[in-house]
Amino acid sequence: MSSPRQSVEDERAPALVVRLRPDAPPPRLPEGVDTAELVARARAGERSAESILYRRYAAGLLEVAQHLLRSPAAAEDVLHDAFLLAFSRLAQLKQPAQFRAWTLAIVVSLVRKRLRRQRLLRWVGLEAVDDAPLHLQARDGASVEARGELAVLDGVLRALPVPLRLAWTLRHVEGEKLEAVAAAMGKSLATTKRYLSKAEAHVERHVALEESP
Amino acid sequence: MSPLPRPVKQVLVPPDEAAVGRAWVRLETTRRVPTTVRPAIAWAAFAALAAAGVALVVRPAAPAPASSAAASAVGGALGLARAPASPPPVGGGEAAALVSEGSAAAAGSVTAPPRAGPRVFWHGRPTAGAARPSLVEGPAPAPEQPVDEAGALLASADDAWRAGQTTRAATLLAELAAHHADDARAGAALYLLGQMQLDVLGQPAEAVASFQRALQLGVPDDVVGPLWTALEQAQRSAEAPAP
Repeated sequence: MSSPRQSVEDERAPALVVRLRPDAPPPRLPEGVDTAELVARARAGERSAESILYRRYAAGLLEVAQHLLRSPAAAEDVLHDAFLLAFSRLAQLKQPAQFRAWTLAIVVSLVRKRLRRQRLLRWVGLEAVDDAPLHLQARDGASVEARGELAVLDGVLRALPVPLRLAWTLRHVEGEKLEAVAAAMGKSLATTKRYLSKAEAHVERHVALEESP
Repeated sequence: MSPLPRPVKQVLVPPDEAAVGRAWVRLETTRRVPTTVRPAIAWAAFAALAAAGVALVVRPAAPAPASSAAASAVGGALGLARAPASPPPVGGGEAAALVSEGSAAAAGSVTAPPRAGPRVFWHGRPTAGAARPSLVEGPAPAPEQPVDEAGALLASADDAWRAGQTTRAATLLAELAAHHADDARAGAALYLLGQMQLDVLGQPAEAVASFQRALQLGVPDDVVGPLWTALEQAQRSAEAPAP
């Protein structure tokens, strides 16, 4: 019969090989480490803290960028640029716990720049990259009606001015809170409400959305 | 007609995890080059191109230096070396010097550059009886293969671990981390060392130190999460009162 220590070692024997294998499956992120601490550690130069911050928030921010830009490739570029900026300007973040909101504001700012460039490209006769309208981003199980509604919604949103479109998308596609939308847009709450009110009036004339809870 | 749910993203596909990973790799690659270096490289390239362009334009108009007696006189007075009129004899009798000491008296016209041919190196006047080095450049010696000491230590640690020699494995991992801290595997080795200290050797304080050092050195992405968890666990164990 093996000793308890030996059994522990037997269980852990493959660890040396498994842990150093590059294709090992990614583990779950630790839930206990809060964002403010990670930001503090990242400010102190810990790359692993940056890595955790990235893995915690990147997927959500990529989703936002993709829905705003309608181009997976452009969204990936924006994600890269946003985290590059965020990590280089981490010292400017006044509330470390608000890392996600701060990075979202950077993403939205970069998206606006890209949309301005796209408008310029269209104006000079060059077609901007815009290869994934909302109905093509529908889940596999989405009904035909839902896809149809998404196509209509996509057309309606395109017709909106950029600030209104961004505000509406953040609020109703992403489900961000009003305060978060205002912070991401860099506008006051009153201005954001005005944007949303105009956008909602326009969208709801064409597309049916579930009642707000 | 069924209304769209709120938020609408419920009916949209989630983001591609591969895209998240690709963006991270790009981010790491971009950050390896400091932002101050990139403009410097761009300016250097621009300056080199501009200089080449200027040289191309100016060159035909420049006077031929070979006929300038003044230039030769100055060169000779400064004792500048001149290129030989012809390549030195290779093999056979006494080798001749490739360069001759310049002097004002010897200052004449600037000679033409040596003819193209095999590259010849002058190793100095040979002493009597000594083996003469080859004057003609031979094939370059094969570079020595670097010894993967960190890999060897890791393999030894693995062998020791499998043989049940935990202390020896821990010593080897500590040695790897201490002497090969710049190796990419040092962080992961420290993580493993910390696990041994925490779970097998019963040394939580040492495990905390190992985990913290692993964080400093950096570990593979897939180890970052467990490393944080293990660090927290080791800290709790180290702070707990002894039974």
